[in-house]
Amino acid sequence: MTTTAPASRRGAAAARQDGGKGLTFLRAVHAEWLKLTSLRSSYIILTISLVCMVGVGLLSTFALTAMVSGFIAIDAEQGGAGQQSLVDEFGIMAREVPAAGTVIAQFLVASLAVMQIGSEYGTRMITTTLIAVPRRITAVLAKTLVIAGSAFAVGVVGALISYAVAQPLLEPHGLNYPLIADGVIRGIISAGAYLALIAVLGLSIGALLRNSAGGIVTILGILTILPILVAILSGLNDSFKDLGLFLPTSAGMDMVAIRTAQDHLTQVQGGLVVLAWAAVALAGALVTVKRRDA
Amino acid sequence: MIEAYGLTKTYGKRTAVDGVTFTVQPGQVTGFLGPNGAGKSTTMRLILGLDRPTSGRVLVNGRPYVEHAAPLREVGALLDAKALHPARSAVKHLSVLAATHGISRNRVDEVMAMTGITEIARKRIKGFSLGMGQRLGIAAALLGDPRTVIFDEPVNGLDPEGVQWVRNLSRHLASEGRAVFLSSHLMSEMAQTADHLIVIGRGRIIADAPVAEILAQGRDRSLVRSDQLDELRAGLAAGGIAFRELEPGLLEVSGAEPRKIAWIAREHDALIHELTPVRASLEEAYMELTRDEVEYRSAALAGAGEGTR
Repeated sequence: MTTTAPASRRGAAAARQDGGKGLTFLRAVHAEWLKLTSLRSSYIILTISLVCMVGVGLLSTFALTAMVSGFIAIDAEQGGAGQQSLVDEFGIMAREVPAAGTVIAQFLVASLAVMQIGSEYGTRMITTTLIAVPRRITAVLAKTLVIAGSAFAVGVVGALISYAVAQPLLEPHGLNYPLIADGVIRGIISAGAYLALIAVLGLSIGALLRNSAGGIVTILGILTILPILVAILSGLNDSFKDLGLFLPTSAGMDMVAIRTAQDHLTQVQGGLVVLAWAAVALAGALVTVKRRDA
Repeated sequence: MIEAYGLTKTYGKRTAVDGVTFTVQPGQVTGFLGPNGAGKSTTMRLILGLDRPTSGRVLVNGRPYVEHAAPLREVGALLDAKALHPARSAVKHLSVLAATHGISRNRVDEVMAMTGITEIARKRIKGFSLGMGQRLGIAAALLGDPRTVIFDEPVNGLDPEGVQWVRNLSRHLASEGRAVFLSSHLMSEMAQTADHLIVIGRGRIIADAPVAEILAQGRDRSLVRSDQLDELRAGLAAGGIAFRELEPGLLEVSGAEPRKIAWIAREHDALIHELTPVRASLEEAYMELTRDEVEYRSAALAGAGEGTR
């Protein structure tokens, strides 16, 4: 160890060539992807979400075919006059099968999204994250993109599998349909988009509350308890009925629907409402995380 | 290199860091010393942009940490060895951090080898001992081959071998021209590792000087035993030399070198049968410096005895 200071500094400079290429948004996204995929819990929750998508799709297919047999039997007794319109009606319901699972999968996706950042605060990993990615907007957006992308994939893949497994069951009733049938692809993509937006909402709430348990209770409250509350209130006053349409669950149902009810939002309106929920929450989370001490 | 200018951080009414100004130079180990709660960790969080200063600013290698294009290349930091997800394996944890900067898998293996955690790389962090966690934290800090290294209480929880290792590593990193900034509440540790010391107490800088200089500030004293204490006391008092009686027959004399004490004893016919010079240890110099700055002090034992005991 007789190297002079300048020589050893040159040594350090040489060693420094493997210090990486610098922080970018895409690299932050890659890191967040590794975080998600290096935890068993992520796989478990995403797999269960997928199973729920397909399971609920199957259940609603069974329910539909049972209903169809019943109605057609009654209709036949009455002379078979209404058969064609009934088949049309059931056809629409059949096309709603692929996205049906979002009703349940949203809870899992929302919880996973909350945990994605809540657990970092819980384990103080957030300190390490923000040392590596001190640009906080980058850090939060990278997380958002990864969880939203995963949720979108679960929604789309789940809906596609639901579509595929439903067809053979629908066929005996003449209710099977091609993927390119009216609204089917839009419904499948909307299922993914809805889950992605719910994930953004969940992650934002997790970031705001910095706590997994509190965040999950809050997001599940928004998704399940708020609609019940509004339903009770709308019994008292009609104006609450309209308010209910703007809750994420109701707007999400309209968003993924093949045909929405007359007094409900259209698919596009529903999508915009859910988007607004996600965007406002994310903006709040970004501003808060940026300003607050880590 | 770290430059802090008038850095202040208040949490509500409590001022954790109170207008500190200091520089951490490259090529040497700078010890950041202070009692618990003195503001060491807060200062480090301010350096890394984790907390926002109430006023003042701090630059790392010439810029606020957040503004660097490759932050991990500039600063490697170990603030909290437990700041990681316990369900991840060590190698995954490091890979995640490496990914943020496009650092190669080779480098991940390299820092694991450097810190001796290669064998447990695939184990979940959950089962790590405190020492292993600390090594993983240091591995993470070294990933980007940073120009400045910040370790908060790096030897906490390490066994003697680990302590030695951190010491050698710190010295080695500084010898490569990096700025090494270590915090500790243990002066003895710093005495062996640091070139320069910044002492902080209640959020203020108490001392900022080379270790040798801080040592020199400590009072030199001598222990003197004599059979003619009265004569000796009179002589010392006449010479204006401070002393106190530690026990019957034993004086602690400060501010006079042994030769002078011996002369005084001779002039006053006092027989000395012990004259021991006591070099101030860094520990004592530190206690002296921080005496008024300790946030939670143990009550004097004598005073405590008055109560229920």
